[in-house]
Amino acid sequence: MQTRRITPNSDKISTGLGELFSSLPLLFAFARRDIKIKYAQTYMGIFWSVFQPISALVIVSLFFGKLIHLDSGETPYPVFSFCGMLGWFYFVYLAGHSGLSLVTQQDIVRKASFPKIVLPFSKAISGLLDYGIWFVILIILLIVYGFEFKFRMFLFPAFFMINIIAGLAVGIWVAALSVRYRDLYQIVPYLIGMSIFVTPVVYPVETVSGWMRYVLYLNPMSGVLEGYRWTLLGTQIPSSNFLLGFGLLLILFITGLIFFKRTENKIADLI
Amino acid sequence: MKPVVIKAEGISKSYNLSRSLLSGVQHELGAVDPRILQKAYGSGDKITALSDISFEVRQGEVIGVIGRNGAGKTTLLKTLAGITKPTSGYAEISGQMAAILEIGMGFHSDLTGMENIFFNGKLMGMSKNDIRRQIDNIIDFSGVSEFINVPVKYYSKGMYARLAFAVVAHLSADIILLDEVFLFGDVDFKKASFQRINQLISEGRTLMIVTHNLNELVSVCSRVFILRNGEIIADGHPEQIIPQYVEEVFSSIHKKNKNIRGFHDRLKEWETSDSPGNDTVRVRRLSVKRSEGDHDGTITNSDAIDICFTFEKLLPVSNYDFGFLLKDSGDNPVFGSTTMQCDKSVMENSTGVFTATGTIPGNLLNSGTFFLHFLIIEKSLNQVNLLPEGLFFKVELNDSLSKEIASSRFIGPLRPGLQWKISNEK
Repeated sequence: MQTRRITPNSDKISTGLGELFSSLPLLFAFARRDIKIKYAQTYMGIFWSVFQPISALVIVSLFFGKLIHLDSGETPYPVFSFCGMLGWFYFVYLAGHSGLSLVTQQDIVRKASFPKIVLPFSKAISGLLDYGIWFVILIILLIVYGFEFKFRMFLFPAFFMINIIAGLAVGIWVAALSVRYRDLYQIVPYLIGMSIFVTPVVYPVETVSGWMRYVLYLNPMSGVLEGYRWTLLGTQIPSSNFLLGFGLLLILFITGLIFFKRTENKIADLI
Repeated sequence: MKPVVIKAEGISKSYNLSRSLLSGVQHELGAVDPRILQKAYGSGDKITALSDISFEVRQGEVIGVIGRNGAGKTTLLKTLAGITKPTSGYAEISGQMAAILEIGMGFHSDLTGMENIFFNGKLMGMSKNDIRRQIDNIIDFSGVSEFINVPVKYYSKGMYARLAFAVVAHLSADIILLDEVFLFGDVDFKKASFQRINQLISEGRTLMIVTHNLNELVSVCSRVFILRNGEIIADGHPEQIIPQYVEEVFSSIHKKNKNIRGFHDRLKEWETSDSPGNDTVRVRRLSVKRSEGDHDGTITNSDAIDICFTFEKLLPVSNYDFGFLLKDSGDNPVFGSTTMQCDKSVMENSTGVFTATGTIPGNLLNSGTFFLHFLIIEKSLNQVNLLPEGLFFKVELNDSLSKEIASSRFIGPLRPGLQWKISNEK
């Protein structure tokens, strides 16, 4: 019979990933629940999840492509911007939802015993449905515009992983802090929304010059989107400067996990 | 002897209430010794919920945890479940444990009964296979099988509670901690719940139940903890512990304020000026005593008990009756009695002070604390007036009997000395 020991908070530094992996079934249960709730009592259900990317495609293509004439080089602008929005909307969903996951589910957090890190991570799964729909539309666009299959496309999942980690890194920090500072609940969704200006979602990196370019290099989501475009659309290979942002992201992610783990023991007392 | 499944050693838990930005950051980083913080912010910011709790629970024991609000019952359960961490001390749990602080945890109103069963079960530590194996039993038990694919927001409160409890009742955990889960439901459902809990007990599960309802507790628990201010002040068999608890609750109420809740210890007298009553009848004195004895001294279950109701009649009318209603410590009525059937010629058409004495025969009441509500009945108006104040008294087992019943358990407010006869059937 396994024996569990309950002890006061220790000073041991841990990321809590072990606990996460042993609670994977619960993680998927949370994700399924999110998806079911999302489509509960909607008449057209999944239609809205298809409508969103298509309307975004049309609006952004018309506004930035035709009206403002943003130059996306040889790549057709609709494909270019859609590829950026694919990653960016997933990031926004993940950072926002996982960041607020403890506060919005405080009833469960206060009363159930499970590793709380499951909650922010479960959003990576529940966000996949929308991501999948966007991705399918992107593939259709690629075929329509006559893109050919290339072996570099196999590198796409690597950038997708970084995309997940970027969303989670922000989300985990916000989740851990929001337990004590509920103020984040007000400001975070707004800030995440504003981050579109420092991320090359609708514009190419090349349009930004000077020191502003370094802001993009430090933003890991820029590297992710450049990676998406490189692997799928065959744009220029991303500059090695983007590794700066990825390095920062890794630090943010790991410290976030450790910080979350440290706060976890007090979550039920504070939230 | 069965193995120890829960071992708690010196568990203490205190909450820091300081909300300042700085102390918050310090706490989160864990960089500052709490003792320094305590100095800086004063100990007034700290609340002790549990202090130095140690106990061992063996497999198959059924523990009832009782105590007044704020005694630390829920914190104890949360700590054992690992939801909140102790400030010092430790606990060791052997085997799978499920903590139910609320039934229907994680239920979402937009999801169907079936969907909620699966999520709720997983949240309480069941695997998908566990749930699949039990799903028919859960649905059967809940009695909502017709509506199992309907979102639970269309359920009545009772259906919702039944479904929620059904999942709890089919948990696979070896150790189950329950917090006040019997609050809902109709009589039938309560009965089914108790049957199910008894079944869990007979399967050898270990249960720890926090509850307020003392009678329900007696019927299932093999052992009771009483918590007060975060300490276990008593630990033992419910037959011995519960009277002690009731005593403790009421004596502390009694000390604080003589009139709180309107119950007095065995005797209450009034001055003429403030006595309850109307223009015709005024209450002067209420008392409980042994028929052969005075107002002090222990009442045991073999003693006859006199309930005395002294009143003054100001007008020579004849349409009054007096009586009382006896309730047990769980506020359940035991019986009532009035002067309706008795000879009232002595007080009819006259004024003066009279005493109506009702005698409860010996060998009728069980041990425990009882409450008396007094009634004045105005026959002409067809009106029953309940006095705002009443009495309570305690009945203890006399020694010869308590030895005799040590092996068996008597439940309920009565322990009548019935006439038994054993005859030879041929």
